Amino acid sequence: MRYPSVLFFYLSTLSYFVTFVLYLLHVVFHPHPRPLSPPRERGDGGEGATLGIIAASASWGLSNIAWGVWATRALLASVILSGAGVIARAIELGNASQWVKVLLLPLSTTYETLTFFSWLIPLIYFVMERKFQIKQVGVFVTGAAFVMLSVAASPSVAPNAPTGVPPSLQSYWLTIHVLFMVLGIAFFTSGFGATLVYLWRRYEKKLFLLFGALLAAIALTIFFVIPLFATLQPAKMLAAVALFGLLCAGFGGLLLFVHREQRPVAWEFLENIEEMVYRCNALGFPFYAIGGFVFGAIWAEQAWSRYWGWDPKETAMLVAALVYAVYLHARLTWGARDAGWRGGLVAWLSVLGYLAVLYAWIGINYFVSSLHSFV
Amino acid sequence: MSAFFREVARDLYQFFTSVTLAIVLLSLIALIGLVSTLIPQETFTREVDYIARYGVEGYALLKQLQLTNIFGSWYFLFLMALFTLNLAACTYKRLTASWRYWKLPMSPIPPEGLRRFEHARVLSGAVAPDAAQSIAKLLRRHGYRVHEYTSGLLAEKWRWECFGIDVFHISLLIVIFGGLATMLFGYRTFEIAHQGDIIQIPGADFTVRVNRFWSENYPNSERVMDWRSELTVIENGKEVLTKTIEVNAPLRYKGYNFYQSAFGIDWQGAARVTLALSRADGTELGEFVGTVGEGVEVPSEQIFVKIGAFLPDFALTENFIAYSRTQRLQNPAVFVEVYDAHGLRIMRTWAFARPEMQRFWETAMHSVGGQTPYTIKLIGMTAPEFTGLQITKDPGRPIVYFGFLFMIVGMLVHLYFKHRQIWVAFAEGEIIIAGAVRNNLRSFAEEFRRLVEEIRQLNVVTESEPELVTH
Ligand code: HEM
Repeated sequence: MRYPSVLFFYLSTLSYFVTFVLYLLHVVFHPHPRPLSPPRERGDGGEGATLGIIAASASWGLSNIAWGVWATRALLASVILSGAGVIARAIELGNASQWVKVLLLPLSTTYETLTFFSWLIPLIYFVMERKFQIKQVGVFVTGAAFVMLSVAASPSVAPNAPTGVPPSLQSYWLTIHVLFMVLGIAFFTSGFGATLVYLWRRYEKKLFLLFGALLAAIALTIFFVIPLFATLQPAKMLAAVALFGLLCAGFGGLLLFVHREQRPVAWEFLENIEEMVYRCNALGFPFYAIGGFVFGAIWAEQAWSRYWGWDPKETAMLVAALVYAVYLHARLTWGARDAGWRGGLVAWLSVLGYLAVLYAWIGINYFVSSLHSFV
Repeated sequence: MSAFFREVARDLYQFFTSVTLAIVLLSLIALIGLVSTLIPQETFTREVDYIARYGVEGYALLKQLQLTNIFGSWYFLFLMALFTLNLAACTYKRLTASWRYWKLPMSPIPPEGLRRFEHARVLSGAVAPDAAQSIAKLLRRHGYRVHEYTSGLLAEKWRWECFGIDVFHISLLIVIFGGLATMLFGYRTFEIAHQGDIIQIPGADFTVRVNRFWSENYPNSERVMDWRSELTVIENGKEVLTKTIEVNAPLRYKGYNFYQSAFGIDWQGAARVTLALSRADGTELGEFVGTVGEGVEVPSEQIFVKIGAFLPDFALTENFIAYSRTQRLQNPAVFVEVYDAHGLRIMRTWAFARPEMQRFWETAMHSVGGQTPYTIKLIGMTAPEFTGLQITKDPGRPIVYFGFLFMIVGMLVHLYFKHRQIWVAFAEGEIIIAGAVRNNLRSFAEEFRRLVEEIRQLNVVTESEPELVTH
């Protein structure tokens, strides 16, 4: 192994997988109790009572194990392991770049961003999990970390040799900019994981249907609608618009259908998850927005002579930030009035926001070339 | 009449202050942004690349819909104008609301009211005589400002945070205005400079000389570590300042900025090519060297060969417009025209460096019946290096940075501070503690619980022994 960081990341790939399995076991064996205690009395000191709900012991062995506790421990171990990898990587990159006059984070190649994310996202989630005690989200977060590290392990996608940093990246403003963006994305990822848990809890099996339909709609859009539209031949464009309308209508119809029937759900628990979604998104937003608009603009002015140039990646980031701004506003206005809204459409806005973040972060690189396309 | 106008004004105000409008506008702007990431924009794309991608008609259609310059389109500008109005109106409206909130004093609430608070606790027992002082001390230690009155305490902290979001919204306005100032009064240009060039800047009372420029690689590597240009500012014939600029480190002088923005070999602007000429019958005429934009005389034939253009990576669009796919020397081609002694053009053609391209081109020309008196081959080329300087004048810069500062402060205040209020009321045999937080922050419940716990541990009430009840 020429680079110690690579070894660390291999180990943490394994360790994230184990953590993922532990979280999965936790979800399987300790599903939340559905009917809750009667609405809590006012002034009883808050929701402390509803926080630590771990299912009562069942009659047989496996479910007696506190999987969640072990999962959290494994998560901490994995985060420490990949953190060591990130530190090793920073040193290797510094050596390869002759320690060029700037403070560098190992974020200059695909390999480095993927591995950095696989450290930071679970770390942020770890903090949020401590705060909200909702462990289901761990399945998504550690799963995502595992996938990212697996992708990073493929040399054809992400060569892992540290290389000298190109001139355009040699600025401490860039470091600040990227660090903020990455932190924002990490919070959003926890928020998205929590949104998934929320929607899952709320709609249970229908969610299969819904997510299946959503994924199919996205795939159809990417593989058919956009290419069809991009041909710019009137007939095909019309067909693309029609197809897109059909997809939207179908998905919207499904959404309404799912919405209409509200089963008695454990509102206490749901509200708690919703609070976690909100806190994650509200924490991620300033990092993402300030990191993107302010620090990104300051750096772009130094490097490219303009704050804002409607570069595709910039624009996509703006779109993502706007969706989250809409989410925050919608939750404040409609969501504050009505828990149904808060848990319903507002939650879907959180999904949409994360899809937009994914698009700005990864998707855009496959559509257009951009000054930013190094990540 | 005036009643009518008042009504219209009121309706307009209501229209522009609605959050729903904000959501709709933000969504539309987001949608336009999304479209712009799918269709390449003019600023980054050459016409030939559009045609190569969409065809001539598709490109014309896109252009007509202003989709290739979406951020300059009338509909986008219209949306932005609406949005700015919306933001300004909202900011004003919210600011008055914040002001009212700021002015609203905290007032005592009778115990029955406090009991109904979401966050409320009752400590019962004999109340110690110094209870008020010790609770006040504890609250002050937690950062609260405490006001004591006869039968209770009023405590609060961070009331000023109600302006945080206003500061944030104002910052957006400031940034928009800064950007507008730059757009209206700014200046930007891109200069390709060679060693020793002196750059004139319109409107400025100084010139800039490019002394030299060079690039450095990482040791033992092909990777570029730095591109640098050494610039000297010359004012009234005197050298006032010399600075080496690089990417991320521009020269700033008197409101003008000079950025290291490109670096390379100036093939298209200043290539020097070597051409091999022969007559159609195969007689070699020799090799000639000339620069793009100029030409060479061939005295023996009494002709003049004009070198029209040089493309380092020749390609054709579907309607046969030649363009350079990249700036790398992958398929070099030069466009030449041959004039006779009277100045009449007798032929024009592309000459290629790659033999198979040259053969292909000659066959193609023959097949369409072109019979040329000479055959021209491209056998050598050099070009000077150039440094590309982006030059801007940016009067909005301080405004924008000021806005950025506001933005950060406003957002952090809004997110991390929430106005908290605590009421403590002393009644016969009990103390009632109630708390409230703006925006109903849910984590306040835990904070409140801990605060009450601390108060309980002050032993300001002596709890009566619970009586043993036996059945
Ligand atoms: C790019 C545009 C905008 C952004 C990024 C933005 C961002 C925000 C953020 C982050 C919040 C705080 C939400 C929270 O407490 O979680 C907020 C609050 C608010 N915004 Fe905006 N905003 C924008 C434009 C507008 C516009 C145009 C309006 C006018 C309708 C508006 C009206 C409000 C109001 C009324 C609040 C409520 C504040 C409160 O009650 O605490 N915003 N905005």
